[in-house]
Amino acid sequence: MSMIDYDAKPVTPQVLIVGQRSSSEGYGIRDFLSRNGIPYEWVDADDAAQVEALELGGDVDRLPVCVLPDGVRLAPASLEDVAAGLGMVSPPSLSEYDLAIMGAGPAGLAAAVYAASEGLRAVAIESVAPGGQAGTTSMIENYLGFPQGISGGELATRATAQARRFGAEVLLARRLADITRDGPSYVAHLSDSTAVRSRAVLVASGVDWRRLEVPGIEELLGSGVYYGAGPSEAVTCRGCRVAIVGGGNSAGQAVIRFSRYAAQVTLLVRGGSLDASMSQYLSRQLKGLGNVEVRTSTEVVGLESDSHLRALMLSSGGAAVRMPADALFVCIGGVPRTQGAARAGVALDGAGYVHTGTGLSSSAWALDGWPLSRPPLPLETNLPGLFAAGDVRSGSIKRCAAAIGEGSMAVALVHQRLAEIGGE
Amino acid sequence: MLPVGAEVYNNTSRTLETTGIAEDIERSGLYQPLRPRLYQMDREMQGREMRQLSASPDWVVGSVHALTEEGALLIASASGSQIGPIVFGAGHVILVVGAQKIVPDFDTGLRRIYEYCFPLEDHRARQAYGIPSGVNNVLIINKAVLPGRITAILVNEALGF
Repeated sequence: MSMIDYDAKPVTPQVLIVGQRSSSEGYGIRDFLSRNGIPYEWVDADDAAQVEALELGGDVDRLPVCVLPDGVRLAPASLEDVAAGLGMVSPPSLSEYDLAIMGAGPAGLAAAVYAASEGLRAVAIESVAPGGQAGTTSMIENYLGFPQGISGGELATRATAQARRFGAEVLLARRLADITRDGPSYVAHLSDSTAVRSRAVLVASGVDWRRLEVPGIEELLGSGVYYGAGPSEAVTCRGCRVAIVGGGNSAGQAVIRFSRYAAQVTLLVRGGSLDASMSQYLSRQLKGLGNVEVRTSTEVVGLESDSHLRALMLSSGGAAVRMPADALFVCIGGVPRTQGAARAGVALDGAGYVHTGTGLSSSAWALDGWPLSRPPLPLETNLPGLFAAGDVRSGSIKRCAAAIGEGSMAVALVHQRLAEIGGE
Repeated sequence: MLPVGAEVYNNTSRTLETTGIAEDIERSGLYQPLRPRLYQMDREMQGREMRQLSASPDWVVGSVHALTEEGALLIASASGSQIGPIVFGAGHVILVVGAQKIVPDFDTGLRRIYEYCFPLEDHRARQAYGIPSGVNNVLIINKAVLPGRITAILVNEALGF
């Protein structure tokens, strides 16, 4: 006898976090836990009665404080310490893999599933949470096989379970720092000094949100300004005035999600229309939402705040406009995450995306030193056996399904490479 | 009984909480617990996904309100959301039953639900959600057609209500 069962009993929180709402470290930990599906309890450091009841002693001056399930208290807590304390940072189980995949977004997870299902020893390395940028999408309605749509988070959860069921490893909370050569193999050096040796590498590290160039925006991160539109923030925006910057599908999906919670949602689009940047099914849905306004030819030029965002200063058609807002979500474009791969000498295009296959011939120097008699395979970079797939790849179609296609295609090419160096 | 890595939904149940089973499922890391996954889903956007997930877990672990001496299991539910998976949706069902829930016959089982369980649950619901509970759906399991699908574990102590 209960209400709907999954609402009748809250899940047991695994982590207690005490921090300032405006702390970017605290926001980073909340976002990490939320995107990895780990329930947590948040105590605002300004709630004196609650904080006193926790008997934190001197740790109250070392925020954010995290209390883990085994009672261990981290103060100040870092994302890496929390992940390690929760047992999420396991070492690689093998001394060598056939394929090391940098990134566990749609491309990386697809590669992990196909590689492991075809008997390759595969490991995927992810700095935050499986799913990548698509993992924070509230509802993908045009993904094949899901006529009612599927959320990015749910797709990532299923794909991760699928990859693990086939035997792929997924290493979390570490990012790629560098890749070095070791004969025909590679060694990926991770941010925690872990080294992962593999006979082939797939860079599927995706993109970060492009930063919005507005004075003071970094100080408001987590205090009303957010990059992306994670599910953890939607509920907290109930009854609020929300602004979303961006003209692509991510921005459109964020508007639809927030329109269910917020009093008013305003989409701010730099371009003159949504036609070129957003799928028609999304832009059509936006028009039918009563609490949604779309402002085209509009840019954010300033922010007004006390300790929290209060209003946006907009430039619209040459006129300056003040718009009150409780939260601003920035969903604009992407900046390729290639830091580790770039250090290894992977050729990048002018915008920083990874050159592959025939795209390499467009670069005057990219194939200098190419050691093989054959040309690079499709999706192969200028380094033999090092491939790239998904949003990070130059010329890729920035769609979830396209990334999944590239991830699975890369595995077929990895087989060719492994046969070439022997041992397949 | 639960295989490592199994997808498990643990029903809201005082019995599971008292015995530590709920915590073990949700926090041990041995299983894929559905409850935390549902907890983080968007109630406004993902209602259909949530219904589908909770209706057909691979394993469901719960309890009952009465067990007759002839072996019938009685489960009451205000929303009915606990009942669907137990009837058919779940691949495997484990029900943990405190010995105090054994009753001589079906009529006594129903009386136990209305006169003993309901007032306690109603009090809990009013305190927890600010709304009354109700004996809106009652499941009677007389026999499991699929051999081995349902396992009832009798614990020789008073557990839950």
